[in-house]
Amino acid sequence: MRHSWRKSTGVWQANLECASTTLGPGAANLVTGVANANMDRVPLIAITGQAGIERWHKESHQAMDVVGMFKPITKWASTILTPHNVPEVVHKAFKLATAEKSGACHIELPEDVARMPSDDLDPSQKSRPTRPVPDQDVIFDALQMIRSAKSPVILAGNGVIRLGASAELRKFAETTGIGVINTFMAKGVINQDSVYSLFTIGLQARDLVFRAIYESDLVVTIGYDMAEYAPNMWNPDREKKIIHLDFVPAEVDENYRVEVEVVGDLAHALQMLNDGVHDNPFEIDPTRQHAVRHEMMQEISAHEDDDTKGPMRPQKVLADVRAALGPSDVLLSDVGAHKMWIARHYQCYEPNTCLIPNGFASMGFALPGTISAAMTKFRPKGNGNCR
Amino acid sequence: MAIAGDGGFLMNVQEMETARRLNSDIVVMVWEDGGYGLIEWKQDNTYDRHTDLSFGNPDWGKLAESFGWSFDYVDESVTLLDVIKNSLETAGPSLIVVPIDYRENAILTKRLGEITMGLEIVYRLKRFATFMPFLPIGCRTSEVFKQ
Repeated sequence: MRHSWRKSTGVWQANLECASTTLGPGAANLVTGVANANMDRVPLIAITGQAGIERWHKESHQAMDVVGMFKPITKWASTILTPHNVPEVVHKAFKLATAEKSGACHIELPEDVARMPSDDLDPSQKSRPTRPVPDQDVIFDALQMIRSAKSPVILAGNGVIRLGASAELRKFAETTGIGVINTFMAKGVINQDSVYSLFTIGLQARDLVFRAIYESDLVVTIGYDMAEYAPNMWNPDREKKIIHLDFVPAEVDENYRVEVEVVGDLAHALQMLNDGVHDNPFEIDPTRQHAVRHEMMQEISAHEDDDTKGPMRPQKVLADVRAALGPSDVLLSDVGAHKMWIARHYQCYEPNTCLIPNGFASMGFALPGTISAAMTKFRPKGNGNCR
Repeated sequence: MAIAGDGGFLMNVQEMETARRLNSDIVVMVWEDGGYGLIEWKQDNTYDRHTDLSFGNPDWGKLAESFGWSFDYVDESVTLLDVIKNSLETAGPSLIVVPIDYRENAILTKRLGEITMGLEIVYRLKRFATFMPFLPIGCRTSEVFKQ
């Protein structure tokens, strides 16, 4: 659950989280937190102990296949079988955990290997991979398609937050006039007061926000993560034209038929699009998107002056929380019915100011998460080009 | 600041000790409904009834006191904003417990159902209009949708 630290600092590329436990039950206790980090794309290294190799072949106290247990919930899991492997295994775990889409890696260290001398080993040389940049021709194709659309809409996902692309996204919305819908984990990619903010999508039932997609003839997804909100929820008839912008190619899904796939660093891709728009500006009729925004704002402000006694309406509580917290303050949500209300009714000014576990979505995140977030002294960043 | 349901908060309640030991400047607000509200919501939507999802809660005041946290229980909505502001100013960890009115869940479901229904009607009209090009322009989808 420590990964809220990573989320609330917003500098995902440079750092990552580590957690360590003993063997057996200690390792088993890490499972939910590691799975949550992995599916929320949080770079995390989990280090667990293990019974000595000399007793692996027989029934033995607290000895079980921990790497096997971690494989389905990490990007990579491995045992260190000799001290000689430590530099490579550690380097590889860090490299894979931070590579897009970032996630969790697991290293296991048997007791007897841990006792072996390793004084003659130096840390592996850290590599700095360059980030891929989209092809100029693909950017041109994307711009052409956006230009010819009558009512395009942007669906921004957690990749925009993780890759620090909010500033370029905001610029793109402002210069093109295209409204931005964000998923739960992309709250704050656009300022709630911006006329281009169409608020949050992701409830299981169709909400007002869904209408903005319904009425669109082109959906531009940016850093969109299917683990949060499946395409069949917003494209059930498979009729939407889709432009996909992400660090990695699109997942295959019959309800996600991509026409142009812009693969590369998000902030850089958006910068290239912005340059293209700047050279040849275009206008989009915002009337319908404004109508959706206006209706949603009425829903959000309903009950904000509620004065009932006894059990309180969720809308009223969230209106007061928003009023009490400053624009840069961080709100963490746990998982449960309250999460749906926070997603729908609590809006943000800055990225990384509302943290909602929504990939794996395990309960129990909020209390340990807020302790970790407090340790960073609430310094939200990530609002800029992080290249 | 964090918001948790009573279920989610109790799942890692031992971390109240961590927050005390680190003297974390945090506010955790618990929405109390004495059950797994989201599961209840989903079961009601799907089956019109739900299994037994309720559970008991500790005496929140005593819980907070035993871990050395500040504590407020708020059941008058007019006082809530001031309580949150005060808790944010308080050094160390604070717990605010709010009894929550999840009758709003069913009301929201009904509201979302109306929105979906509206979209379905328009969608069918759109299909219809596509195959009926002789209809007057006023009956076409774009016009209907503006209503």
